[in-house]
Order: sequence, then structure tokens, then C-alpha cells
Amino acid sequence: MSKLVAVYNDDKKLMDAADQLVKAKAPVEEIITPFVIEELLEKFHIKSNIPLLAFFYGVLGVTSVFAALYYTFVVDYPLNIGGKPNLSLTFPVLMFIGTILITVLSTVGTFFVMAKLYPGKDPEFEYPGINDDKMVVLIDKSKLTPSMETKLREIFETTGAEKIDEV
Amino acid sequence: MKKQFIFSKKLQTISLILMVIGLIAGILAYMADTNRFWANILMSNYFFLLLALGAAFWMSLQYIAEAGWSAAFKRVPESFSYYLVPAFIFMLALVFFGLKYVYPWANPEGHIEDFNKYPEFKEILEVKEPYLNKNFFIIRTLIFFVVWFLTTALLRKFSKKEDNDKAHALKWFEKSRFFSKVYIFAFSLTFIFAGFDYLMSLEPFWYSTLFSIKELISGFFHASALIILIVYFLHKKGYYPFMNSSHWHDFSKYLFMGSVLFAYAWYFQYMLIWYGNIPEEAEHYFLRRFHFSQSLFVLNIVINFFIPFLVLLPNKLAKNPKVLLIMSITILIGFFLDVYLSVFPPLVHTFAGVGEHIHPVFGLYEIGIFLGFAGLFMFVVFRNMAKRKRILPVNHPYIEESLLHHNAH
Repeated sequence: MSKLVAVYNDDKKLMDAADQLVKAKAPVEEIITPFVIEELLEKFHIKSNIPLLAFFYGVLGVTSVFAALYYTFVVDYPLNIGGKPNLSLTFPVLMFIGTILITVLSTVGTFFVMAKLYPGKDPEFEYPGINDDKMVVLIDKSKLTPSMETKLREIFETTGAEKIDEV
Repeated sequence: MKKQFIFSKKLQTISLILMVIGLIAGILAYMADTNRFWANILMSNYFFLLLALGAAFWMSLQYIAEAGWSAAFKRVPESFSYYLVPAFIFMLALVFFGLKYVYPWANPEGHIEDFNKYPEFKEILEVKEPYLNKNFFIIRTLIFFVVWFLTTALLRKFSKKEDNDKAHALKWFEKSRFFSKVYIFAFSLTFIFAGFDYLMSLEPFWYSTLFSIKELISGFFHASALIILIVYFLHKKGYYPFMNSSHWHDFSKYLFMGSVLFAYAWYFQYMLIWYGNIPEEAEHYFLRRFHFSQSLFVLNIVINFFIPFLVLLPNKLAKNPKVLLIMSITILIGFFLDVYLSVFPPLVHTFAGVGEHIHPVFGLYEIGIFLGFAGLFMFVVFRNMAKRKRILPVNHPYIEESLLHHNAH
């Protein structure tokens, strides 16, 4: 499978290119950047539902930690600690920390599942410089018509791509 | 785009009417019940004093973080600090004329039941005498206000110089940045004692080292709510036509963060005292929760934490100016409730018409006097805002960034 690759070294130039790519309805497969550029998602109208999932994980975390605490301290093994009620006001401390743990771990796990990543996976795409400071736009050539390809090459050239390549 | 803020006739009449209402309510309250009158003066004055100080803290934070987006709104928190002058006058009046009506340590027989019966009461007050006495209290009030007034006046002075002196604008900006650090340091140091004096000494047998931290956080949180309220009003009147959802979102982040911080401060003091279970510490919460009003006690944390936290969580609601308006009004009501729960419970039993059972006292006196202070605050803030030639800072290095502010989300 051959791919059209445009390499950028400046995020502002990449933003210009992204605007024109959206306008030209280019079949962009992937954009690989060394840091997070959230404007890209906005420009390509990609909505992530991870924030919403994270909220539900948070709710799940609160309830499950509370249930665990309630079971241990009230139902299963009620201890008299200084005459305090078993359903104690100190629960929120543990609930707070447990919620953070559960939310963060499940969100990262969800991200791995959504991105189809796992430890020891072979890289899907390799190109010199993409692990350093280069930003790379990938376009699937099999979906391109010849006229579209010349148009895209023109866009990459005018917006100042460092290199246009085929892999 | 309107360049200078105009304190319109309509607003002037509104604030004057509010002040007249406050004056009438004050006179009536003074004739009916002196204790209640002074408790109200303390409550309403402290409410706006803390907002003025918290707004100056908010502005200093923008300076030291070199925040660009908020540069255009600098006038709003800046004008709040003019309220320190009337606040000082009312505090002086309270200190000279109302001390014995409000503070039990100044008049133990009048406030504490069976004071002469139990010598322990006297012993505790005698131990605290070197700190809690009238003369030192006056000296401390003077020190607090001199420090606050000097530091905020310096910030305002540099801001004015920056506007008028284009060639050295950056130099004045750097000076403001430095004196913001000075303000934050001086304010936190003095406010710890101010919190002890004005609110905590209402219960001279109770003490909590966390109390002033909670009040400081609350001032910062609620001041950002009032800033949003006034910015919304100015935006509606056409003073900030450049505002977009990014500006609103950044404002709402302050409310969201503040609500979590407030809940944290509220909880750490309550939880530690609950767990420690030492009678003289627990008395504070026992009075509020079981003697005064359990529902108001719970309502405080619901209004100040749960409602803003859940409402501002979704991205769409957090960017909506109308939602922000409703939230900031709710949060300011929550602040009133918080101050009310600090001031009223220990004093309620001295009000006329309250028998053996303590219950919340809230009536037209409270509303009237609070409205009077609100009118005064409005008048002071808007009048001084109108004195500046431009509503937008002129030579501020970040003003362009603020006008073109845009967040990705």
C-alpha cells in the first residue's frame, strides 16, 4: 500500500495545510505530530468521546470505592474506632484518591483499546524524523484520483512542506 | 466599541436607591435591636471587603502568571479595590462603637450564658487577653487596612502610569508584576489575622488554624464569580464586543477550580474537627449543625461546590455566558450563606425575640442592609471605573493577545 507523505517542521505551516486539506476534502489517513495539537481535531471535525467516558469512569470510581469502604467498614467488619460511627466522614479522602486511580487507569486503558495499541506492537508506519521534531501528513494513495493528487501536491508545496515523499 | 465606561444615570439611581434602602433598614434595625444591627454591618461589610481583596488577588494572579487572555478585563478587579475605603470606615465604626455588641470577648457578661458561674470561662479569656483586647484590635485593624490599601493603591498607580506613559509601559508592567507578588504575600500574611479577628473571635473559646485559609480561598473563589457577573453586564452593554467562547471558558475555569478548592477547604476543616472530637473545637460545628440549622449547613456546600461543579463540567455549558451568569449569581448567594453561617449562629441568642431555642434569624433588616452595601459597592466600583479614560488597558503588553484570544477547545 503506497502512501503520499508530506513532512513539515512548523506547526503553523501544518495548520495552513490542514485548512486547505479540509477544504479540498482530501482523504487524510493520519497526521503524526511530536506534540498534541488539539486544533487539528477541531479542524477535521473529529470528536473524541474519551472525556465523556472519563466522567462515567469517575462516577463508577466514586460508587465502587464507596461500596468497597461501606462493605469493609460497616457490613463485614465493623470496628469501634474511638467511638466514631462506622459510616465515617473520612470516607471522602479515600474515595477521592480511589476515584482518581480508577479514572486515570481506565481512561488510559480505553485510549489503548481505541487506538489499537498494546505493548510490543510493531510500528504501523516508519519514517525518518517522526520520532523527533517532524510533523507528517499521511494520505492513502489508493483513494486518490490523479487530478486530486496533483492538487494535494500543490497544496503541500504552497504551504511550505519540507519534503513531499512516497512510501 | 465604546471606549470609556459611562456610569449611566439609570445605574446611579439604582445604586442610590439601594443605598437609601440600606440606610432606612439600618436605622430601623438600630432602633429595634442594636446587636442585630452591628451583626449585619459586620456581615455585609465583610462580604464586600473579602470580595474586594479576593479580586485584587485574582488580578495579581494574572500578573504573576503572565496571563494574556485576561488583560482586557483588568479594570474590573482593579476597581473593586476602591471599596477598601468604605470598608475601612465601617470597620472603624464597628471597632469603636459596636465592639461590645458583637464580640463576646469585649463584653463577656452580655454574651456568654452563666459567665460568672463558671470560672473557666474567665480563665480562657484572661489567657487570650494579650491578643484579644480593644486597643490591640484597633491597632490591628489599622495595620490590615494600611497594608491592603497601600499595596492595592500601588497596583492601581502602576496601571495608570502604564496607560499614560507609552515609552516606558513595559517598565510599569514589570513593576506591577513585582508588586503583585508583594500584594499576595502581604495579603495572605495579614488576612490570616484578619480572619481570626473579624470572624473567628465571634467565638472566643473556639479556634482553628485552618479557618483563615478557608476564608482566603473563599474570597478568591467568590471574587471571580463577581468579576464574571460584572464582565457579563459590561459585555451586554457593549463594552467588550471582542469576547468569544474562549474568554468565557477561561472565566468558567476559575469558577470550576474555585468550587473544588472551596470544597477542599470546607471539608478539611470540618473533617479534622469532626475526627479530633475535642469539645472546644467541635463546639463550632455543633452549634451550626445541630442548634442553628442542619439544612443551611448542608446547603452551603451544595451551592458552593456540587452545583457549580456538576453544571460547569460539560464543555458546552462551561462556555455558555448565560449559564455562567446563573452560576455566578448562585455562587454569590452561596457566599452570602457562608458568611451568614459564620457570623449569625454565635450571635443569634443575643437578638431580641429569640428565646431559649436557637433558630435562623433572617428578615428584612438583613436584606435591606445587604442591599445598601451592594448599592455602595456598585457606586464605588462603577464611579471609579468611569474615571479611567479607557475601559481597555492602553499600553498593556498583552492586550492584543487578550483581544485575539482563542483556545482550541
